[in-house]
Amino acid sequence: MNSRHNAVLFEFTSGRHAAIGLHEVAELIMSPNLVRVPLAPNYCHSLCIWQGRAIPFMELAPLIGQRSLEKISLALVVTYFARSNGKQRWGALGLSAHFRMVSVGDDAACLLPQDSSAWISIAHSCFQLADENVPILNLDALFEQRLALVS
Amino acid sequence: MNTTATGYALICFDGLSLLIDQHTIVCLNNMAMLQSEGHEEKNSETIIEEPACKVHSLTAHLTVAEKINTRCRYIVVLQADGHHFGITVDSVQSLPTQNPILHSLPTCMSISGSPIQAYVQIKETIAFCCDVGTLWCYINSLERRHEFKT
Repeated sequence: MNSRHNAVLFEFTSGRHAAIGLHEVAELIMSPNLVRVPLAPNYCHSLCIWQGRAIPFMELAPLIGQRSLEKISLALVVTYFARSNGKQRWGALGLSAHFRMVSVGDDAACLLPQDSSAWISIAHSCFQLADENVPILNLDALFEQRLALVS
Repeated sequence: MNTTATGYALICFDGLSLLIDQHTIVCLNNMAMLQSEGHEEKNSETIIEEPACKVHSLTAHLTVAEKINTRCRYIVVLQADGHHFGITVDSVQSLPTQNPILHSLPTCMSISGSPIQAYVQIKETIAFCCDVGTLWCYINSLERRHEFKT
């Protein structure tokens, strides 16, 4: 691991990436134990059983109106502190391939992608990587609000 | 939420476990008995005579599986707001653990108007708490929408 790495980059739909802080990564699960939740939205359809906890399993692509990658076989367990009460929480992001670590500096800041109005509700900020604007996810906003209202 | 889930029955069908308030259960009918009396299988909606009510398969209504398992063994008749309706299930039992904790669904997967708003975790198994009054409203609204389309 490069000591300057401070973010984790992952592909959520073909050729599109999002990022979270490296300090927010808890674990990558190869074959997650998922339990489908009746009537749950398509972007958050299951609970993931992890270390005895049931945590929400989120797919980013349907949330912003994109097609999911065909094979979501990995779960990236993430952790954050809920803004409402300061308690530590966990969630899982569905991935089809391993993430990679990158170094992101303030000089790479750019505007959020314009393809979905959801980005403004679920991303802290954005950085430029090659030709792509990569949103940095706000995990509290992603897991702690009713996203049907923003998508 | 995080209250205890006492007074619930655990019903299972097509891989889904639901917790239902025991007080909403009117009766339990054996599917084999009904079929021998000339009732249709559950994949088409059926009507039973005693108590008179329509029977539904929740598998399709709750979109938990693409295929409906026609081998369900029982019809549980439920009551909500003075109405009776039946659902087809594989098994009905009391909760296998004492005082399990009811957890609210995470906010990001909770939808207003859904009968499923909480769950109980029993080791690796999740059972979803189903509010029968809201379930009745949900089934009714789906059927009204279907009738309107046709």
